[in-house]
Amino acid sequence: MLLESIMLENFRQFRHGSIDFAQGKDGKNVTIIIGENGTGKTTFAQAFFWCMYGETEFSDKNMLNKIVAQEMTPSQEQRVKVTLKLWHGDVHYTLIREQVYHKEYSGKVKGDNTKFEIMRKDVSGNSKPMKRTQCESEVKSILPKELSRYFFFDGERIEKMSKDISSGKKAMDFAEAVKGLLGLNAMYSAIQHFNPRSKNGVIGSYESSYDARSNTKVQEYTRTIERCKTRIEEIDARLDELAEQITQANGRKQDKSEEIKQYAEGEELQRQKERLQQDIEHAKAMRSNVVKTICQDFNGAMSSFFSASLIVRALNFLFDKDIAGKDIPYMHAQTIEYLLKQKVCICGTHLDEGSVPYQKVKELIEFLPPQSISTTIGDFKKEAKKRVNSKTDLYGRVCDNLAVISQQDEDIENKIEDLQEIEKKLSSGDVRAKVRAINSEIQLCSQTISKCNSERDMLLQERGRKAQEAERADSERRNLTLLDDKNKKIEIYKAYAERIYEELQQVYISSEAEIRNHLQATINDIFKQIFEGGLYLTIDDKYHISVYANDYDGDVETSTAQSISVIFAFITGIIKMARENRNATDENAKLLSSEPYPLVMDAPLSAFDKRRIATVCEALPNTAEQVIIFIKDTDGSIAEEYLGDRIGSRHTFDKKNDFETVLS
Amino acid sequence: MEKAEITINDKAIERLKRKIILQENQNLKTREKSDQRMVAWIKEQIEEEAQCYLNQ
Repeated sequence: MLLESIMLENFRQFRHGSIDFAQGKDGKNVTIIIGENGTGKTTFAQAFFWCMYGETEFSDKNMLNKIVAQEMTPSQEQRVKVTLKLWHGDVHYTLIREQVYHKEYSGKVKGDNTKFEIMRKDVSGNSKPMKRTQCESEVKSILPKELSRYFFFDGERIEKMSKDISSGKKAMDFAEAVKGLLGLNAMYSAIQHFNPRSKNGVIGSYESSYDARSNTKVQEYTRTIERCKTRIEEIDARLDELAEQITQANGRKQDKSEEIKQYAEGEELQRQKERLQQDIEHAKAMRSNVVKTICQDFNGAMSSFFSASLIVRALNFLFDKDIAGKDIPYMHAQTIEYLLKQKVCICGTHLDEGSVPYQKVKELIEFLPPQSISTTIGDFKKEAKKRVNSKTDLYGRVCDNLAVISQQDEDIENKIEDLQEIEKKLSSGDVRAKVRAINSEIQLCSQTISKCNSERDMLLQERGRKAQEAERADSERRNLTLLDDKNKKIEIYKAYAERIYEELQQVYISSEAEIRNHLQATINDIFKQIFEGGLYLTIDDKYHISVYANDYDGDVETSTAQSISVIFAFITGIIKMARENRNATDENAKLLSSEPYPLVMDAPLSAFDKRRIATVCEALPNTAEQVIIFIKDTDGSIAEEYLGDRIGSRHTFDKKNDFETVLS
Repeated sequence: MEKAEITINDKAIERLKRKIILQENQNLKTREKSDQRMVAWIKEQIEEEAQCYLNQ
């Protein structure tokens, strides 16, 4: 996405104003907008948000210019309009958001819901408006809201930005959006197009295109597979909800467990409680080890144990039977059949039908495999003797281990009783009301966790069963479809699709990990340029950023300048990598090519000292394809000094009065 | 019941993967094809490749 221009009408203090942005012609990709404090730099930056997402961070949601609102007569209409023109890929977009305001007879000015329109001009120059229902999702595909804050970089609200990625579900959306920017979008889209869960996907559509006329069973199996998949989908959705609930309950429980320790009587009881809980967990783990040993013993010795008396009886029966030595080692009945057919023995004797040699050789068949019993009986005797001799005392071992379990059960029961005793104290008049309240909340969390865990376990079991059922039906359906020419083709195409889907998923996972490591290195390089000293950044799989000191083991508290540097390094790192992939000559890197993105920065330099401003100014136009900086008039000369030859567009905010700013 | 085996050509899979990602990348830029059309396009590619090996 590269911005072309923005036009504001009656938006807050801007009655009319527009800006054309430098887009990199002749190496000039920086637009600077200079203004004193309070002239509306932040308002102008917020106009991007409002146009794209219909939101701003202003507490006053009335966007209409105050003078225009004042001059309105009752029943008159006025409109606020922001028009944003941009390029995304090879498509030119015009985004228009408009809001109509009415003045009531009481003098109150009220706005209708905003109207959002997108005009799209494709490579061939055809321009057409998009359906209103598609506009929001189109904006999401251009720049997801979760990421917009980083591109519309707001130095004064850095804390909120950091919190967004370190908490809750937004972090997930953020991680997805970052992956998209790093060029994984194409792979992600491909995976989505194959997705077997969707009936309209490649695999799903093959599933539903089998011709069931040749065999009604095919249809039955298809229905079974569909039913299982639907249920698995429901289970997955519920598992996500449960995981979320468990995480929240665990967090809350931990917080409350710490809080209860602030009260003297609560502290001791809470400590005893935690110790007991740990002991119980430990005892339960020990118990399950013993149960495991019993199962292992049973599985290993069960067949010998139960067959012991039969084996002895069989050995007695075979004791005086002389069968050994009647057959020829390594010789098969088919060998004899072959010789008889050839009518010549190995020794050269003719085997004419009815002759004595013929009869003698033919008799051998009875003792040779598969009919031969001599070898089988020999093997049986060997195995039977081995089992009889090595017969372990399975019964004795199981009895001993059951005794250990019984002891452990008693121990666990005692500890649970102690724990209940402490719980009672924590909920009784022995402690003050506050401690009781905190404890009851801890109990509530524990109940939620245990309830969610047992539901999760049940669902996981059911999921496994359904997956097995679907796999079985799929396998049986395949055996049928391969008998029919038309269905056979579908089966083969589906097998190709499934294999591609599997491999794309593997490539996606490994590419994502590789890209994340590369991103971490790139960010650290940029971070070091801006912020010298013993700090380094790490990115985990959810794209949380942590700052560490080289000589200190643990997350460090960061200052505002540090935080800005972190986010700055993060976003410029992403932009830099996306750009590297785009300009790469390597074919594989080209597969990860993604869009260029602008950096729109509101007062980015305020938090830095002069030396860092120089570094930031130097880094900016080289990392991002387009840079738009809103700057304080006092920082203007510094920016001009360092960015001079990259500036392609300059604008100044001229404040006429508190309600009107003019662009020049 | 044993699942019947289908022989898949590894080279065809590699070629298809690459072709599909490049097309997805292109489509993200141009937005030329809808999801439905992309699915149809992918199916067409798979069928062409698979048919080619079936004929051999």
